Amino acid sequence: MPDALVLREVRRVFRARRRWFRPRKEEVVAVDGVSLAFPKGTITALLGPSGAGKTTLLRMAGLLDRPSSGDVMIDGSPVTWAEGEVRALRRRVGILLQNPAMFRRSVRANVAFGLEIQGLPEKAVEAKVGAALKRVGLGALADRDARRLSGGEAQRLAFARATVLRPEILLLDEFTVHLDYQNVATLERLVRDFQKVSGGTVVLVTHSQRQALRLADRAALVVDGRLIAAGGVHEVLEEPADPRAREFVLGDFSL
Amino acid sequence: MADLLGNLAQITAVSLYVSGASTFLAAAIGVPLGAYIAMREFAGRGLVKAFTYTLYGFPPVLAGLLVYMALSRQGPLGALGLLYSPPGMILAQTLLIVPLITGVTITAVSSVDREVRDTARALGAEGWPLVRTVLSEARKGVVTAVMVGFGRAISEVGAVLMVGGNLKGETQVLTTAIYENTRLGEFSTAIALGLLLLTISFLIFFLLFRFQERADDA
Repeated sequence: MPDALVLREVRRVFRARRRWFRPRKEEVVAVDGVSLAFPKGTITALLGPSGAGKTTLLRMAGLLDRPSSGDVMIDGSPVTWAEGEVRALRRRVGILLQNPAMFRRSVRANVAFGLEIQGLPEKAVEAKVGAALKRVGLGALADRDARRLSGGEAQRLAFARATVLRPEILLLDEFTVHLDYQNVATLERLVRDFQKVSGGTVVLVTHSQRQALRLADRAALVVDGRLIAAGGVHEVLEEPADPRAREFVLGDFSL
Repeated sequence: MADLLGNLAQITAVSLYVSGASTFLAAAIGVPLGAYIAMREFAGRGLVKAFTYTLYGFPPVLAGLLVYMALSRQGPLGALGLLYSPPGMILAQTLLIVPLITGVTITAVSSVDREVRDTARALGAEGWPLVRTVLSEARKGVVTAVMVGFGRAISEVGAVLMVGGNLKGETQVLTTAIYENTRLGEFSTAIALGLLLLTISFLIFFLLFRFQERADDA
């Protein structure tokens, strides 16, 4: 199976905010040389403790942030980060952020946002948006102000808004955190359906090993900005070889 | 009486034309400029911001002086013959309020959550569509920027007096007419003009305020 997405030795360093007349030197290494491949058509769970660098990793894969060094490779070729290229690649990579913003407009207009930017004709936008809203169960709320939705509804809207663009690679950052059981079940079903129908590649950052086992084929474990385990989800979570991986897996289960 | 009313209408028209056109021009410059400064990382950005905020206190008479010198016969723009004409006044007022509109726009755009920008980018917006989205999220603040600019333009005397010369029927505006009538001891006319200026400002700000409220609901 060819790889849809590969991270090669990616590293991201944050510098402390620059001040006048003060040399800057404080650096925080959020991601420290991670290499990881995501085969086409798989669902990979990215696990690790809070502050491990999972979100930073996902944002680089989603082309929102440029690595300080290393490469993001899509379909085998490294991203050069030229503005036009990033714009073109964004159509193929969708990312659902942990706190997706609801634009100051209707639910329908929120879902139409990306399609309108792509310049689709109005009729096509309307049809796609209608179908997407129906899929996530928001058809009845299409004309509601998006900022007045509940947490679960907002997350489903965000999912519809990202997937209506039919990305080949879908990245999800803690997409069910703080949601009730029913919304979690709905969103997980939506992810599974999306993958099955589109044959795309999914990467999800999650805190929940149970969610990883429910959804993912593969898992990768990140601790302190480094990759410490990667492979099949059962192999990584049920027979961790690395002592830190074992600690994480057992520690989490004992909660 | 009809004569007086005709005069008032004429003075009011010049006032609205000059301040309206300057606000329009200054918004056309200041809003995109403010959005650019707020959203782009570039060297010296902090300095540019500090400079913009400093210009909030730009004295109108100084704007008047600079534009006067530029437009006077020996000045670099002297050949245009704009001194003592409405276009010259518009130039002076635009100069005066561009920093205000730019600065308030910077503040408004900076207050849009990072998540909004990231979400828009994740959905494919870059460049102008991204700026448009962020400005639209910040529209309440952008309307405030324009209101503040217009408020300063319609109520200022120094720049329009120096550059316009307060020529009756040509460059006299409400504020300079109040100034002149007070100087001549025509207090009742000055007060009447003052009330008129106040009423016009009130009406325009009321409309803009309503527009702003609607922008929030939409």
